[in-house]
Amino acid sequence: MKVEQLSLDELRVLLAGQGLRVKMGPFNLSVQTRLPSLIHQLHQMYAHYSLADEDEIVEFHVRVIPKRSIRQPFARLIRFEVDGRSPFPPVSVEQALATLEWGVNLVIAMRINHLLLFHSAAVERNGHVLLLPAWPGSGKTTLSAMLMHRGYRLFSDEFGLMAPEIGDFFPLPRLMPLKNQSIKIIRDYLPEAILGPEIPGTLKGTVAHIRPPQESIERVDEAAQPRWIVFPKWVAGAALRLESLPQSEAFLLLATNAFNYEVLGETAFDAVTRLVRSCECRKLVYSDFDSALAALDELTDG
Amino acid sequence: MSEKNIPEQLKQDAASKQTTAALLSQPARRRLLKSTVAIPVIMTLHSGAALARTSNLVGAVTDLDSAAKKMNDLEQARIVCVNPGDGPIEESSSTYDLGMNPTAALGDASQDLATQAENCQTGGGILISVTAFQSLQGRGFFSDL
Amino acid sequence: MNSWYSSHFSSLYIENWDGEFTVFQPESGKTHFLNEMGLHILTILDGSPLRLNTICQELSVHFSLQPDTQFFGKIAQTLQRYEALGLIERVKENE
Repeated sequence: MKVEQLSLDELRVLLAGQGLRVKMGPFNLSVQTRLPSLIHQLHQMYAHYSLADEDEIVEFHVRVIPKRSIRQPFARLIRFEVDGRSPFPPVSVEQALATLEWGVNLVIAMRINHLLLFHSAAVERNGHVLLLPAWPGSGKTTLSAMLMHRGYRLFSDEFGLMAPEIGDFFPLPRLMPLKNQSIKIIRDYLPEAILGPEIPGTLKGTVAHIRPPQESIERVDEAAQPRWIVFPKWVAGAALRLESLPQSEAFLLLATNAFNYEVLGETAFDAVTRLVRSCECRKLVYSDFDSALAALDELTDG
Repeated sequence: MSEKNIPEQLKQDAASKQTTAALLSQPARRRLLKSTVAIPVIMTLHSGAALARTSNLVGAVTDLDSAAKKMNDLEQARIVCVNPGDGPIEESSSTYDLGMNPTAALGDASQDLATQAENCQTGGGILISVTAFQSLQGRGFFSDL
Repeated sequence: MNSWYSSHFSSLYIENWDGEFTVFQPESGKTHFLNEMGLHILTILDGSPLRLNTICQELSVHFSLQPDTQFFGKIAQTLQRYEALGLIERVKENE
């Protein structure tokens, strides 16, 4: 059963009661909230997610709850909680969705250590995974939003989730936070994309989430092997460059960009070595999305 | 990929150069590693910057080697002592949420690094890694240091 | 006079990336990135301890260098660094 098959009232009952238990990639997530605005947003933005079976274990229990402030008695604040603890300071109620999504990402980044977690977007084409590791200015969320609307299957805009022993990557399609100018770019470029509300004033500026396509969510159990690693960088006015990257460089970039490389130690060293040796490694400098997408199409053809 | 970002992730331990590779551009670093056979080069990877980039969460470090430092004009090292916010985010964790406006101070240059670190921790501060420090600085924090 | 040897060389995981090397050190859980000379120092110290002079001589032959005082200083610093990282150990010899 999917979230979209629940009426708004049924969803409200779940969220306000035992929690909405949804399948989120290889994990199950339980969300609780009574905030009417957030319930409405989740009804739309989580529509394609499947509910977790009753007998399945839920890895993460999160809540978004009102928070009273003595210093700001009239402010409508909320707090994100995971297993009863709150990793963020309270924020305004308008930022509830953004805080929920960041909070879940944070919990995944901090608690998952049976998988190697790269800070990277990942998409699949022709049966193989293309990794787009994250750096400030990489534009990975915008780029992966465009790729997924051109037939690439979204794995994640945030996590490259790798089984270190076998090298498989797992999909974790979650809401993708577009920031500032990217919101308009995507609205213009992909009018068919479903976007959540624009949320101003967050730590990262104005944020609007893009909903992953239904197909990406439905094929969440289909892992795939990686084949390409492309380090993107958006540079205003730059001519397109898609160049080979030395494997040693790729190793360093990936290892230092993983959330839990040091925790996994030798396992991570072996996994990153195998990953880099088995992939084509490139760096991509771009300013124009059309030419960047064409170059990535060519790379991943066949 | 930002060309500045590659070396930001690395702490160069090349004994032959006191200059840190963190200040070198990517082509310069390539030259250092690839073409320089006349100098032994060793760099030690320091991961964990990814988390700092996605939030203001950082892990406290305890070894002086990996702790962030700043040099003053007299080339004396001063330890970066960070205000840990509300304390560790989970019991028995060394991960701290620095909040919306992380603050930090520098140690007393007249003391050795171990004493600076001890004074920092005695005063409730924490030490953070070079990569976490650079990541936070890259986001506009600690600009007063 | 000090000698040096790489005490745990056989436990290191070494990957060759076309003349650059990633080295995983199980004891510390750290990953190091070395150039050719960086690794060669570890290699020649695997086995019996060597003095600084001998190490420099070996390196200058292998890499066709003319060692000067500066070179000796650099190698001495590298050895100290390796010792701090636990990659090599110092043996104190009687004169």
